[in-house]
Amino acid sequence: MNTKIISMGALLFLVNGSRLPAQEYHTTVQDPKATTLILENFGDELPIEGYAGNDILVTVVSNSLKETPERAKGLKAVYPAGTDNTGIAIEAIKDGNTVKLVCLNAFFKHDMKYKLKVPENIALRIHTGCEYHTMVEIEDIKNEIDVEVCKSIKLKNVSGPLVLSSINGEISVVFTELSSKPISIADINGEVDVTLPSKSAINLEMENFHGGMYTDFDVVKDKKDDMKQVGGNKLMSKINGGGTDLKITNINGNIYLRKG
Amino acid sequence: MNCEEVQALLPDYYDDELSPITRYGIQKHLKGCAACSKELEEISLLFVKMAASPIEIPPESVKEGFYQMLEAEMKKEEKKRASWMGKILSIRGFSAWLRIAAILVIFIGGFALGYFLRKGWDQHSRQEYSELKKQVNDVQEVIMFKLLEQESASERIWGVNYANDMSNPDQRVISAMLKTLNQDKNVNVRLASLYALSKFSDRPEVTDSLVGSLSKQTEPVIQIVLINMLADKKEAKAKKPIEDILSDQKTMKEVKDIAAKKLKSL
Repeated sequence: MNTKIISMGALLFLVNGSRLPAQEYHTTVQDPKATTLILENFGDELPIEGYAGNDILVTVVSNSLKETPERAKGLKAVYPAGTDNTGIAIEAIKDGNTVKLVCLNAFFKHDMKYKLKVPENIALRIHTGCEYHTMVEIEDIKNEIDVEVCKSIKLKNVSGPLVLSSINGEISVVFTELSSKPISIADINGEVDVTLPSKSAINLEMENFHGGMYTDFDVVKDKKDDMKQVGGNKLMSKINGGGTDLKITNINGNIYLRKG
Repeated sequence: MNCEEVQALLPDYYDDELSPITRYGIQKHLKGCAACSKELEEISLLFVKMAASPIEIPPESVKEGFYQMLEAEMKKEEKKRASWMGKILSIRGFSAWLRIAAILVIFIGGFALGYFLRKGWDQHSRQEYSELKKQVNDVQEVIMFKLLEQESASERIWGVNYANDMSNPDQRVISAMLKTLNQDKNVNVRLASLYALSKFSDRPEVTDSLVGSLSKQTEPVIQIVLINMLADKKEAKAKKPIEDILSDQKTMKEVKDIAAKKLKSL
């Protein structure tokens, strides 16, 4: 009797579920470590979380759009930016070692928001113009993260390499470990706040034009590089003997470099 | 197998890291080919010499970086090897080169240092040293160019940093930096090459190119750093392009502020 109710319930759920429009898209990546996930035209908040697995999972978090209009029955939504082949207004393009997801509704269906779960070893590339107001939040990724946006970039539990630039947003990064490939961070009006494991061996280079620079690392001015001051407020130092290149450029905001 | 294929595989052949079939193919080719046999001889000589020379241990960071790169490169190969043969050639060619180049860069520096410490510093050794240094520069160049071609922005920055570390880069390196400054699709990579070039801004041709770059840059952070750099150098030729940036409607306010301020000092 009991099992009957449960299976009936499951059946009802399935029937119900299949009637809803797809709110999720997933695709499997054979070799995450060798793959770059490129995200294009995603606006507003964009949370991305790494996990130990091989699937890229995109979920619609909020969709304040009304139901598809009655008159659209039998028709398909089309978008100027590409073809919706995922059912959630995203065009997915797999090509060699890249998976590209193009958000199709950024402008005229601005209220649809997404979140992503991705293999922790995948590399990420997100470049959007100021018109998208993209705010990137990434957690638990162990590969290259390459972000170019106008607003904030927040990274947690990452290892680099990182190539980040913003114009008006805060850039905050918390490293759990540090890869040996270069890290480059550039901002104009936001604050840059970087937390590194205290034993990190880095070749630090920080330049700031109008803001200040603060750190609890032992920063000793490098004698060899003393010869040329390129301008602005520039500091070079080998920390813990030197290692990974870490370069931070900021124009108006402060730079904070912390021991984790 | 033709000569090109064989020569690309020779370092691995020497290291005994090839499958028996490939190994056999090479052996067969070597029997009938004097040029490739000579190449193999040179490689073995190089490896033997390096193994015999007193080696200064390079800084951990350099080593680690290289090994990671090599490892990544070799892993990539593993996979490709399984796939179709045609592609192997170009990739293997690069890897064999990269391996030799990397080993050279890591060890020549240490070798030279140990050698000259023992031998003392005279006219002759100075000459030898500069020859060695030139070789180091050459291999650094090979690696730099390879890195600049990579899809990963961080690796391209790595390539730029190589140029930054060269004491006296030649025109090809400078041109590559300028091309990166004006054409790379990533802001941070362009910025890195701008910083690298600033180190050589006492060369007139570099300064001229930097002035020329003013009108090409649209990214605010690059405009600011570049204006600042040229103004601090009191570069009069930069005045006109900076004025143009200042009067351009599309220029960001932060850039205009700095342009206006710096123009006064020119």
